Amino acid sequence: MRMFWKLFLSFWLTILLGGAMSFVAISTFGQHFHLGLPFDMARRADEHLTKLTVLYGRAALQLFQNGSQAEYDAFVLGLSKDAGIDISLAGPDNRSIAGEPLPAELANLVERARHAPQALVEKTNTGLRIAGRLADRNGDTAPLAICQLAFGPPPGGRPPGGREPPLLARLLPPFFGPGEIVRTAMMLIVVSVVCYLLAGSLATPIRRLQQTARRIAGGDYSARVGAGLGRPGNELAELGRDFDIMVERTEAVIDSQKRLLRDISHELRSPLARLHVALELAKRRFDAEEDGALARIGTEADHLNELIDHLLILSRMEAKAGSESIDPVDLTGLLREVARDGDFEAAWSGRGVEIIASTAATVMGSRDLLRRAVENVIRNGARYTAPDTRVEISLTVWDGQVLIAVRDYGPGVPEADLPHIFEPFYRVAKARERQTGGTGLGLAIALQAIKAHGGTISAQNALPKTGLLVTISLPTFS
Amino acid sequence: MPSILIIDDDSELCDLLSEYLQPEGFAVETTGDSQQGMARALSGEHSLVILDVMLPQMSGFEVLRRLRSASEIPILMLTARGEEVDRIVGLEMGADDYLPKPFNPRELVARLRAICRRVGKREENQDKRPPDEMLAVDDLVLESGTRLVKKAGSRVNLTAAEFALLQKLLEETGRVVSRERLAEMVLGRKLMMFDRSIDVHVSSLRRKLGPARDGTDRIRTLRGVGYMYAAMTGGRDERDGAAGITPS
Repeated sequence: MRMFWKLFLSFWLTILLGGAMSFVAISTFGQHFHLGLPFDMARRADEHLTKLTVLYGRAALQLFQNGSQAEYDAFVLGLSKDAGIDISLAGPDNRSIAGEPLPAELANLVERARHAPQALVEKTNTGLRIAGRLADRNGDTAPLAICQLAFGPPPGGRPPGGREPPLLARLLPPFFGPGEIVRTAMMLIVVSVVCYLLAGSLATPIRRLQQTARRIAGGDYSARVGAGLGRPGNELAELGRDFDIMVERTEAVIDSQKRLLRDISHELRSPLARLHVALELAKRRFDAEEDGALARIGTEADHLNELIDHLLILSRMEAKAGSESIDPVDLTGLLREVARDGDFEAAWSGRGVEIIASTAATVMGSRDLLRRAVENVIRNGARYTAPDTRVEISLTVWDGQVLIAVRDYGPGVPEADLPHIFEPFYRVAKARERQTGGTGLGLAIALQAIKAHGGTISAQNALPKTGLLVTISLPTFS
Repeated sequence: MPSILIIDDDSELCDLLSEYLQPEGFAVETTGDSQQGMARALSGEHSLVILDVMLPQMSGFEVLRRLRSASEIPILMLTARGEEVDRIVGLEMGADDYLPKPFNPRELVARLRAICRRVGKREENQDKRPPDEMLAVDDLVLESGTRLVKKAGSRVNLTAAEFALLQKLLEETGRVVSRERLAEMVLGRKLMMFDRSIDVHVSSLRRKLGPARDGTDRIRTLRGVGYMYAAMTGGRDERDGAAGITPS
């Protein structure tokens, strides 16, 4: 889920940033367009307009002075209708030629135009106002023509004559203006929906891969990503397909390993089963119940059998093929049980097992595997500790770790051998292990079991009296 | 003479078992083929079937399931050692007993006899024959004939070695039994140097039985000598049918 939101946010920010940058680019470009290209055009249009104003003004004056009032009115109305130009003529004293006073905004312009060397152009909110003298003589009495042109739509409605807004304004509706909050909100919603879909289309297949990988890590090798990560050719779909192929092969390897283990178990034990029956037959046939050599054969057959058991346990753990259950395990109680059994088993020979320090400790894992681990370490200690001594066990919790220390008072282990005692079949000194009846796999099994629980196991020689100290460390469960 | 059918694809083991079982008073027929074995088992000519879990064409469980749907014939399963699941599944599917391979043939004979007795008891429900040899100490009852151990009325599952150990210790309640004697009785052999197997068996038996009702240990260790079952009330209170005990 976290990845989905990361993708979503980055898409979202990218789109917003891109939008902002193109807005800046467009407005800069638009300014250049306005300042550069049409600058010349505007100046020339102004020139033409002033000339036109003077021409229109002369024509109107001619009509006013020589023609009839009706003809003059028709001309002015026609100009206004057809060309959008409102023309008026000013006489002396800031009055119109008909003797009416001029509106204040025109009067100011007229006053300035009387003394200007050429026609004046004034920009207004809606368009242009142009005023020019009709006769080429200076003075207050010369008549003036005033043209008013409206361009954009004035606030509150179209200008008379239904003129179109300019080109740029039609193509790019102004973003900043009335309703900008609504427009911003709509844009953000659209961007969010697009980003949501985009992030989802990337995150969903990846999440599915992740879920499948987790199931496989949890031991479910039948889990597959399957089709549906996308169309063939899509990189994620290809990844899913390759992932499935990989799992397929892994499952096949694990299956064959499991089968091999079962086969070994079967094939090695079948001769042992026959050996046992044959041995009993031999005892009966030769009436040799008490025969030492035959008893020896029996012992060795048992030993072989135990060895096969341990080998199977070990390889099963190394392959992690066992579907051991994961539960909270009360390590304190488990240790007490194992110590009591170990003490009981060792009591006959005058040895003992004792818990010298204990505290409440729980770890997550398989009770069976953990039991095997501590049992093997404690039995190992009980085997080597000197008669009339006790194997000492302590259980402490420190910094989120459970520490189990098992110390015996035996001969210890030469320093050179210490790093190897958890290897399968590693023999310290001369075949000592065999003499004392072990299979040589006990500590290797303990190592695998502890490793499977994310813990560590180590050994060192104890001081001041000789002996071996084995320390197991496991993460606590709280 | 009880007739036994062995279904196991290890023909050499079958031959050896036939040779071993016949002097023990069993008529033995063997087959390595599960189909044929099933047909023979349903023929009604046998009183007991020994069935291997690992069969080539059809698994032993499948054979067991099909047999159980048609017949009540007692079945002893031979399972792979260490495969606890096999044992549980087998028993749940209606096997009468199980024995992990490899096994001591003496143990097999004891189990076969026990099954025969149990079935015999079931069939002759109202029979007036005397009850099986039975040992009762404190809240423990051990029937040697049917190889059942009950603690306060509920069954305790013991391995062959544990059963034999308990039987010996109960017979000698309150007396020390030396490790050597226990080893000979239980393992059928003398103890080797550093041999701890008997101690491990006693230890696991002790764990399965739990402490006595008054909280004391049922089995005690006598250093350098052996083990002893200590009765709670300090004596051998009841021994039903003690005179009829037969070593098995």
